[in-house]
Amino acid sequence: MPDETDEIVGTLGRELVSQLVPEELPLYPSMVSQFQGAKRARGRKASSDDQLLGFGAAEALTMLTPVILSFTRSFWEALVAQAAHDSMQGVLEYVKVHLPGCHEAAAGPPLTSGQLQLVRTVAEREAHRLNISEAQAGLLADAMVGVLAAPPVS
Amino acid sequence: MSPESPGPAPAADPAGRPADGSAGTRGSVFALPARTSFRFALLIAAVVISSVMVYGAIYGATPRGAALAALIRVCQARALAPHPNGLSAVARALGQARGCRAGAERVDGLWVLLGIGVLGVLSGAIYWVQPWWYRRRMHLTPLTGDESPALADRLEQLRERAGTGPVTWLLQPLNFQLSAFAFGRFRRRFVAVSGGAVVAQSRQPAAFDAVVLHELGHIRNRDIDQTYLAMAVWWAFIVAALLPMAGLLIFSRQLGSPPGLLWRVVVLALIVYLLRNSILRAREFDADARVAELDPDTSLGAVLAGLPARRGWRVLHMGWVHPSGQDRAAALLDPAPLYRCGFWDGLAVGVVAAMGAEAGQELVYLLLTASAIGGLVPAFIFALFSGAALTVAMWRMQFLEGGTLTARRWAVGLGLGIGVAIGPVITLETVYDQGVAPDSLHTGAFIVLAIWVVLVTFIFMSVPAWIGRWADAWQQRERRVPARGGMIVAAVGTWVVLAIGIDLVLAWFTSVEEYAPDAKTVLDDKSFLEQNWTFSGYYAARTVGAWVVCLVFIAVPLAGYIAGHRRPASGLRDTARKPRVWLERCRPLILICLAGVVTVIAVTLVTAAVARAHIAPAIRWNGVYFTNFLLFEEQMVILVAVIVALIAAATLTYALSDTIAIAVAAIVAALGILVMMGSLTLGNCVAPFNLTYNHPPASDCTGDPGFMAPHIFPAAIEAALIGILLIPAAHYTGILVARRSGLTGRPGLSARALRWLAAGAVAVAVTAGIALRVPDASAHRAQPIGSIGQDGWVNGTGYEIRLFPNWYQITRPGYTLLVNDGTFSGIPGDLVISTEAISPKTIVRVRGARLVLLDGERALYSVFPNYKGYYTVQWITIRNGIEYFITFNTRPIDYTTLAPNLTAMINSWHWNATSS
Repeated sequence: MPDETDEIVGTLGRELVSQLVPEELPLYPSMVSQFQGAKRARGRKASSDDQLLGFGAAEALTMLTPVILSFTRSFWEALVAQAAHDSMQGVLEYVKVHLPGCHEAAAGPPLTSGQLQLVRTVAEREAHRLNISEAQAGLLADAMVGVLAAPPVS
Repeated sequence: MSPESPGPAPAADPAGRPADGSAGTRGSVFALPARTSFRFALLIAAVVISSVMVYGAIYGATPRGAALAALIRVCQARALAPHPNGLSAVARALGQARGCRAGAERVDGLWVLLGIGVLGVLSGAIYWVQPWWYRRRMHLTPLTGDESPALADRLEQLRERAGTGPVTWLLQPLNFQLSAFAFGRFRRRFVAVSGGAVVAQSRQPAAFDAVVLHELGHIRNRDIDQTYLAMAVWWAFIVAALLPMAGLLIFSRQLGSPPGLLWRVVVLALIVYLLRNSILRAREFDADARVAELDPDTSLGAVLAGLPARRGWRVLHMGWVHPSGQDRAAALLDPAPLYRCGFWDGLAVGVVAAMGAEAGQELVYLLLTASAIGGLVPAFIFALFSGAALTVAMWRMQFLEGGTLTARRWAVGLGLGIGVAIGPVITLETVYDQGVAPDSLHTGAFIVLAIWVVLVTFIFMSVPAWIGRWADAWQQRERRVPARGGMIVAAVGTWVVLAIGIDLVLAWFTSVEEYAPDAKTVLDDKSFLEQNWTFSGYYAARTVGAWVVCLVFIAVPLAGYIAGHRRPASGLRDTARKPRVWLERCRPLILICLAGVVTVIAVTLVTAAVARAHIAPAIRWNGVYFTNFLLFEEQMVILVAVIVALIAAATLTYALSDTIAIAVAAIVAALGILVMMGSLTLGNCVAPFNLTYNHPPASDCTGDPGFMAPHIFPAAIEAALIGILLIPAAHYTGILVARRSGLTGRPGLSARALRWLAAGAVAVAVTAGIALRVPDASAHRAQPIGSIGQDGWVNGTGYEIRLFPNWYQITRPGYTLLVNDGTFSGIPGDLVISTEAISPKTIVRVRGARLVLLDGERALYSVFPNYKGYYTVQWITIRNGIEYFITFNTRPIDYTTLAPNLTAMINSWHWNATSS
């Protein structure tokens, strides 16, 4: 279900951004919209070249949010693909119920260390597919584990 | 990570004096108004001008326009059908033609006004909705403090630091460049911050501050309304004028010469576009300077230096609205670009001023009756913007560079002159003449246009240099100060001068339109230059505008000098030394003036001698020759006065020496006219100095050449005007010569003597050449229509009579016919002397006649004020069996003019014993 996937990706991605690059948080809603709309219609990136009373055409800063969103989506899709595995199914259910911002007070056990290890493995694998450095891949994977392991906010 | 700060700003003198090693201080950048503020108004004016022309052309393509064109032809033909004779009659006929078509032309004018009204409403609407449009098009979202309170707080801190009013902060999240832009409308200010800038607030806080302060600098510099109003007008012009015009050019056959219209519209649009871009680029420098003022430790320089280099041919830079980052970074360290202007600035000012005045005049003529005042008002309106823009630019440049003239001011003047010259050529009205280049491809048309451009450029080229000198006079104190009050005074002066000058240029442009088709004929006329120079200067000097211009050029710098005159530091005045000091200073002036007067005396004598030796008496007898001679001699006197003034400007070392030189020109010219009067008086008595007679009549010796007295003041004005054109160049030349000689103080005696000798030799050579030319030039179109006898004496049967100058004897069998040459004056007059042998007993009676004496013989004198349409005076006398009939005829209105001639001739009558 694409809508559910988008919601989960958006929510997880937000948590990752707030941890890793909080300065990009004000831009997050627009980036998510662009990211999710990119599959249907490619949006044009805005530019400042020769804008009236603008500052001028400067170099673009490197944004990590698109990378994080790509990682989050591929991570989730990888989790879904491994849903046949019992442990992974449990992770999926846990994530759906314990999404940050979700107010259902699920009284369920947290993820086991085995499940977290599984999550980390998937995360690391997906991170490496992004052509980023080993350290950054590890950072992403750890951040994802951290998000999923964190107790739900009441 | 944080970019390196370029370091603190150079230490600045609070009073604005440049710091060591820098051309100006950041603190002083805003001491004077930005040079682009008035240029925004100029830009808007350019669009309005273009619209006037475009709507006029569009109207011409409508059926009403075609009907108006036909009506103009019909009215003109009807008015000229009676073949009016003489200038005044033709002028009356053309006035009637104008009245005939006035109603239809008024409709044309109202259409144009309606078009401008539509343009104005559309501009206002675009201006009003622009903020909404930008928010929608750029996907801007409100930037609140919800996601990042630190960001919101920082933005407000910067806003307070910049001292601007409330700002609505917006976010352009998908723009990852470190950027921002400001926009808004009246009382609403928006700053859109890019996603990259938001991120930079954490990663590169100094760069973030610089970018945001830059945008707040635009708000602080009042760029929002000017920029977006100019843009709104531009877009309205495209939609409401250019597009309809393009459609008509493609589909309509009513628009006359499409190529002529097409290139003009393209040029107009290009002028507006390039002017817009240049203004916007200049505003970026000012906004950067504002950042440096608000935050001396700003990292703006490093951020600008890090902007990607812009590639492409230099000419394509004119299409940018931002200068390169590297140029902007350099301007932070050396703000010279904020002060300088050059050729293109002058060109834009000149073109817009001339075109605007032309378009405005055309509109006035359509709506109202043509009048001198109606034509002057548009020139004053557009000169206001141009004069202010030019004055501010030159004031700033002088404030930066100080000291004396530089080549840059001449570049501005060159652009200004060329702009004023080509402005009327670009207007749409000129295309209908089809005689002016480049619409006409004849060689003569191009030659005439080239001469026009050279002359007009020559006239206007020195204006920026003068403004620079005025600025110097006002800004010079113990230290250089902005002198804003003086700048306003100078701007008013420039406004007046430009308005008068542009109005004259537009009036003279009709000569280009007239001459272009007959260029070859005109240029073959060897006296073309003298005639046009003389009569142009003659009439120009007699206009109120000329007096006002001279007054401006003397009053403005003088006021500056007085305002800045330093009091002695001790507070005590050394009154004993002051008169001696003033005498010392005045001595060179007095000597120069005396030299000028002596030169005039010599030149008038040489000229008279050359005329007597070289020109045939019968030609010198002609009234045209005499008039030309006096006029050309007057111009020669003025030329001597100007040369003397140029020498004064080049050699005197006072403050305001160039302004003093204007006075020198006027004084020497006035004294020169007095010399001419003295020369004429002398010539009335002493034959070698008489232009007309070999032996002048004794009665003329008491003659009063007081008719020259009214020429004194205009000659002084004309000399001052010409001096105004040339004195800055002479002053600059003197400085260059002194610099090359390595002179830092007063030159030695031998050097001074050599310079005076050289100047004197040049003056003598020039005036001698002119003195030799004047007699020949005066003979142009002066042809005797008959004989002048022996030094005017004509013999008849038993009598002699002396012709008055400009009267000739025409050979006729049986009677003597004396005729006044009215070829150019249009005043006919003749004196017929016939004789008849009669019986000694014949008695002659004439009703109403009275007895007079004709050289001792009684004669009957009768006056018939209106006999068959003529004013007739008759003498009848009998002597030695011969009856003499002397009959004078002229038009009644001309009798008063010819009466002195007649009296002189009759008084010269005397009987002799000779027979014919």
